[in-house]
Amino acid sequence: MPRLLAIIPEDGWAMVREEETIFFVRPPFRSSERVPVPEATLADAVALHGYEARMDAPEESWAGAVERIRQIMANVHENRTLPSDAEMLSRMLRSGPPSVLTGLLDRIENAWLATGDLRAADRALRALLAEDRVKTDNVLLDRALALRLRLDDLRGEREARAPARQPPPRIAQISRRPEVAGCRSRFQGLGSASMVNSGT
Amino acid sequence: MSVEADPPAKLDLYELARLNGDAMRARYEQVRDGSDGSSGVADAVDRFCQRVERDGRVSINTKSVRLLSMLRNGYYPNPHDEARERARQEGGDSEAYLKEQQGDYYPPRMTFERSFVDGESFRYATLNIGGAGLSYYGLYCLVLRDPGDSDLTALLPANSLKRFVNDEPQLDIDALRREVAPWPNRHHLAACKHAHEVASTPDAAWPRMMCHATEAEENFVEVILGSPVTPNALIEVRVDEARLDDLVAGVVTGTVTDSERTELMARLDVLEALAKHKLDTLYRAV
Repeated sequence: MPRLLAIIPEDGWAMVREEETIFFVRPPFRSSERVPVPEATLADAVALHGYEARMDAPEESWAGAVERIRQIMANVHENRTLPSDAEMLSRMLRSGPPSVLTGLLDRIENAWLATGDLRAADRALRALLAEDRVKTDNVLLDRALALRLRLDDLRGEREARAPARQPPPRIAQISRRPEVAGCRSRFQGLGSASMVNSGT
Repeated sequence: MSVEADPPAKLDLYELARLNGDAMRARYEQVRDGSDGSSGVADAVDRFCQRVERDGRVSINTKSVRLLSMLRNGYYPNPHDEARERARQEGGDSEAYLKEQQGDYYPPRMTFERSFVDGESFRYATLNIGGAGLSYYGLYCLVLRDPGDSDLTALLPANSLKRFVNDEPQLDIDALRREVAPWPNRHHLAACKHAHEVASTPDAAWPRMMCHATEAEENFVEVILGSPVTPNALIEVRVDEARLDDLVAGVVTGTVTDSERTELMARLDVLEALAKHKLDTLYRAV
């Protein structure tokens, strides 16, 4: 059964023993990425490279060991308030390597717009277009604006394809009352004219 | 009246390395000339030797907290420094903290380091001809400027404890004298070590051949540094960036977990510290 032996809590890099083999694992902890290492590597990891030994961890399933690692990582900041996700994104775009910007543009284009996750594309583009490094780089700015146009087009297409929005039943009921007859035009925006007129 | 025996005199690792430079070169020439020329082994050994001389750099794989400490305090800390810092902050004895942190690995490591003059100042690095080095030791592969004549540097063909300290633990000083090399002979040491495999390994795989682990053994040339490693010594900070892109995407979609926020925050802290010290241009995706 796997047992956690040592970990770098902030980075999530860890050594886990399963039977006679020691594995190096790291986020996102895919089983295909486990690397077998010799005992000497564990020794140097702890003695030289700052891994924290975890002598008290029990034997458990791989899922349990990974969950234990994730919990140790999550506890790193239990006494510190982390910035919001929006702030982390903004700071990452400001201080990250250029590949973070291009990588995010790639993901907007090839993943979120391609699969129709328009909300994620919108969030990412808002963050990118607010970042000075994008605003002052013509290549990045042109690409972000082109993706923004494509996002707007996709939204327009989606709205055009969507069935006409029906007003909530209560609003439809009110619109049929004689006393609001003079105001019927105000209900036009809630649905088709025929629906509003159906009360007459 | 009892007379206590004097402790054994400590050895100067860097002087041992310097004294062994010519012998290391001679051994390399012997290995090369003894290779079977008809099969192209000698050519491959020669080519590999030149590649290591040209591209070989000192690298240290480290965790984010140590890199941040290096940037903040101006030097790369080793476990002795960290124990002293803990004693300063929390009170108590730094040696006790060191023993606690090292656990079972304390006796052999101290046997090795305390056999040498200033052994507690050792920083352990790797000879790297490309790539992320011994990445399982740390996310960040710090590539350093080549050691100068005045820098204290010694190279060993493998993990110092595994190769030169037995289970007693005792240091095999004779083996160490034979195998240690100074920086100017780094390529001779590496070529002697890998002569049996360079011809059968594609050139593109040589970086991995020099720095990797299998279940049975770890393969690297260890570089021991005695001079302080400061931020000025950095020439590259190599990082595997695929994960960073995924974390950023997770923040956008609102799917990051608490453990992933910890990861992202650690990376953000490092990136902001590098920018603050005007070292952000050294950041390289690998």
